[in-house]
Amino acid sequence: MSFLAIDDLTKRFGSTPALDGLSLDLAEGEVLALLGPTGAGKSTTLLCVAGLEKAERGRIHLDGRDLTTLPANRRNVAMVFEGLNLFPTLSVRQNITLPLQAPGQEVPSGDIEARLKTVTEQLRIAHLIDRRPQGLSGGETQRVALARALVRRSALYLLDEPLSALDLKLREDLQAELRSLHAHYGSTLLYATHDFHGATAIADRLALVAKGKVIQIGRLQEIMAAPANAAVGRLVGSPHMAFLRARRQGDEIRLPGQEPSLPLAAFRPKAAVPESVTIGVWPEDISLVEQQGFAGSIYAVNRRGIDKAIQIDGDFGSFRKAVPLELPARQGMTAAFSFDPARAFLFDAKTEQLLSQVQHGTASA
Amino acid sequence: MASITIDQLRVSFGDFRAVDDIALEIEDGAFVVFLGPSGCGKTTTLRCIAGLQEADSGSIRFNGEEILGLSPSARNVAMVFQSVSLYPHLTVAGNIAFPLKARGEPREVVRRQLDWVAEILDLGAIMKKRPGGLPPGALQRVALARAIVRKPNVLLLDEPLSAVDEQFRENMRWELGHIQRELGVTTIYVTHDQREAMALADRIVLMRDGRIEQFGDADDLYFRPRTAFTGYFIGSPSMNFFAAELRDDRVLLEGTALGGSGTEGLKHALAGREGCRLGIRPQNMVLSEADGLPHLAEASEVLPFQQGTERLFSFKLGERVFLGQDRSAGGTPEIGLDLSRAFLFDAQDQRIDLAPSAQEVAS
Repeated sequence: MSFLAIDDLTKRFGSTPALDGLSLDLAEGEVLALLGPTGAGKSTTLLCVAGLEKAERGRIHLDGRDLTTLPANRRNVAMVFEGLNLFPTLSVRQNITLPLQAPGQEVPSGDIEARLKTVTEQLRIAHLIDRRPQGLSGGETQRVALARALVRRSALYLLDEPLSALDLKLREDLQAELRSLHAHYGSTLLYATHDFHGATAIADRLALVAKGKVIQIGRLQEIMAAPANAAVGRLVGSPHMAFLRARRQGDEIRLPGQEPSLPLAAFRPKAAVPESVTIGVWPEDISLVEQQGFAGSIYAVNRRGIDKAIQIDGDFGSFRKAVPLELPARQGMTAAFSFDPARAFLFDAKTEQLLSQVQHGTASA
Repeated sequence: MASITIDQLRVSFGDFRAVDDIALEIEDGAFVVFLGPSGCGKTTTLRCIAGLQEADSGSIRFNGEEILGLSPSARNVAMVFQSVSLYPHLTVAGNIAFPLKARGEPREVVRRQLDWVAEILDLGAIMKKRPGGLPPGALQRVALARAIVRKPNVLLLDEPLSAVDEQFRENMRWELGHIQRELGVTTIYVTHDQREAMALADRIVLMRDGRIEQFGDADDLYFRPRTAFTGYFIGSPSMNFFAAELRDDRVLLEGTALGGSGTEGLKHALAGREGCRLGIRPQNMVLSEADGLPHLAEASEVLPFQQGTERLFSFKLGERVFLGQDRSAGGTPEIGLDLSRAFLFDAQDQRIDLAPSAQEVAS
């Protein structure tokens, strides 16, 4: 049975739908990332779970209890916001321990000290506890906010882009800390982010959110093996899925102006295929070839450290792919590539729906 | 377009030396990134070049000519900031043409330049629109167009992507790289994001405490870091650092023995030294079954996890946590260290050569 169950959550801000029947389930001790672009409904979802926003429709259950109409302070959830909300007049110690003195949640004072010590050592802010928030750096402030959420033994932690305002290096350090905190406490976490790397660094499963809905939920490998639609491909991967504009001509699929055409059957169609289609391929499943293959040109090259990524443009559109540093690649050079249609996906160019059958349990990449 | 030579540049704010004797040579047409943590002096240096910040002393020359005494406008530099500020009542074309008209350029020149910039930045479809309803990506392109339309000596970009979300940021990063190489205009880009620096730069100026920590291309900084700071700052996930010492002819990392063969070079380098640290990237520390690499005799809390499409693992030595790459396949794996890709840093955090031949990594 699921620990947190969100069912058909719906909410409008004015005439704009923020949540459009959003549903998801979360097991106890699991970390689930809500991954989606800004404005997809991630924050609104967390606010509804925390009891800080009211949904117009839908139910939220936590550990068998219906939370939907409970006030925020009786839900036993802790939330860390993107915009930090520390009290400027209180010390770091007071900011962190305040939730432990809240009516109905009082903790014996010996216990408070012990918890304060553990959490501040873990987040490496023990030396800051007598200071006030305004003198702290961004990273320190962020850690204090995390400590304040973690010090309460909540059933559920809601983290809304808790690291997005930080320097990249600090962000990576804190991701590692969050992971080890989770390994230590086994807490249940719902983590909203627009950063694919950040999401996969922390979460067991991903819930991909777009336009107020969960468009797919699962482990990364499951999602990559069976992307529900083209929008999923845009949210997942680094670089994300390659999309190639193509046409169906009879029993063949053809990239504009390119040879050879590919047999439609190789794409495992499960429904009638329209003329206008998009081929989706994970960049890892595309090979660069010396001769033959499809032709494009290198739009730009980005170094990444141990490897580099190139963007290949053509009449089919453009895609990006990681390649070894040794590969000679310069802006403006031609590039030829090929892929196995059996590892590619066919999408309807208009509706973006998946037209290929997928074999469950076979991971791509 | 211009080459830039910076010499003994110094800027103080009260007692704080924000820029501390910087010297730098930037080739004409290069894409250079000033990289470093908050407060390292990268933005202050940029502002000196733009003429928005006065220097205490030193010199900045464009094509050999001193510019420090010149007004910002006389330097012919273009600067693009984090927040885009366009005139709402003018069309996109009007906004872009503004600096040219302000300079009194004849109408044909304005039109020719507008056509050129619209083509490069793919603005044709929005030239007649007003900025109000445009998406953020288009606004950034318009701001860039306005900056380059008068063919500046130097294009200066101050964290132009730091306020936008990840997907847009990545797209703009590719656009910017492409456009800069098409234009060939000398460009300086300030960021704290090493991924952006690696992706875009011909040359990276890594700064720390007002000084240049290392200046080189992405491969120099990644494969040949001169200091522990460079090793840490460049690359993702971050480089691991182990306290390293030689005791009873054994290499100890965080007090744990490094077993197996192939440690002679490291032993030799550690002999007679104290306070050294071994730096090794997670990509070069591998959890696998018998790969013949020198391995750590004991580690606790070995936890594999997935990050993106990569399999990583974390482990503990004493109280400290380290990261590596997981290539285990169900057997009894060991933590192997590829010492040919590791770096030894002395107590002053300077790199010591291990075995010169093994350090030169093909790239």
